[in-house]
Amino acid sequence: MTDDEIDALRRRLAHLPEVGVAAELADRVGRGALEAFDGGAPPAASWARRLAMPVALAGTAGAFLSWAVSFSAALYP
Amino acid sequence: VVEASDLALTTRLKRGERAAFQEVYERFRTRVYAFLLRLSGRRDTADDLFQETWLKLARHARRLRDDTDLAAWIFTVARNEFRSHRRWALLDLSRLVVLEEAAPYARLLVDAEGDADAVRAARRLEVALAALSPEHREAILLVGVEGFDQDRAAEIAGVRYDAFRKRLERARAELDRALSRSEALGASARRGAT
Repeated sequence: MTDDEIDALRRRLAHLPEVGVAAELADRVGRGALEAFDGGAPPAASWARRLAMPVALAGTAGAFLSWAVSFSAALYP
Repeated sequence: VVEASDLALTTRLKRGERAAFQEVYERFRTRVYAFLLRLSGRRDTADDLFQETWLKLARHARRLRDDTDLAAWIFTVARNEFRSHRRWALLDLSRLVVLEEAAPYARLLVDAEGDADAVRAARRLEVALAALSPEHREAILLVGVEGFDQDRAAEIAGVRYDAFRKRLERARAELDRALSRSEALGASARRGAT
């Protein structure tokens, strides 16, 4: 895109509303990150999210298994 | 070209100065959060990714290169966090529905205060943005909202300059189409209301 086209795009998008960070979130993340910056342990929430990933995968496998069983049951009643 | 003030800030971050970290956080937190919210379309996801982005900076700050472009570095991390989240979400069948339902997030973003026409225009813009593919939305946000030039935006998006330029062209065309559709829908709704 040319510079003029980009300027026009930016002018158009300037009408987007401001999006704020909730004060509680900004404070919590700021403190947690600063603690990690100082060499502290990461906040618990981030570990919880990592643990959620294998759980999500297990859920996916379970859902697929359940679908496969019902599909087989429909084919071979 | 990285500004001298940013280079000085990077040097202070590498030395482990808390005040430098706080300064970077204050300067970029709102922009990064808005970027993640518009990319993901969900507040809970944006909250998580926002936290992960800042933890990454906290952990890597002392290993940054002297000539690091801080803004580009932070937005690259935020963008990669979103991509990684999206890959996981696509593996999780239970979240597919959530991804499909992400478009109405524009309702969250537009404050009901202010001139009705301005609110309507802002809402239309958010809805059009939300309707773009993630790659196109990312390109529009990086260049059109965050003000990165196409070179830096290409680096953040992890693609070559030429590829990014073409992506941005297609993204703008898609945005124009989405806005036209939304304007047509708005006009027909107003006619229906009268």
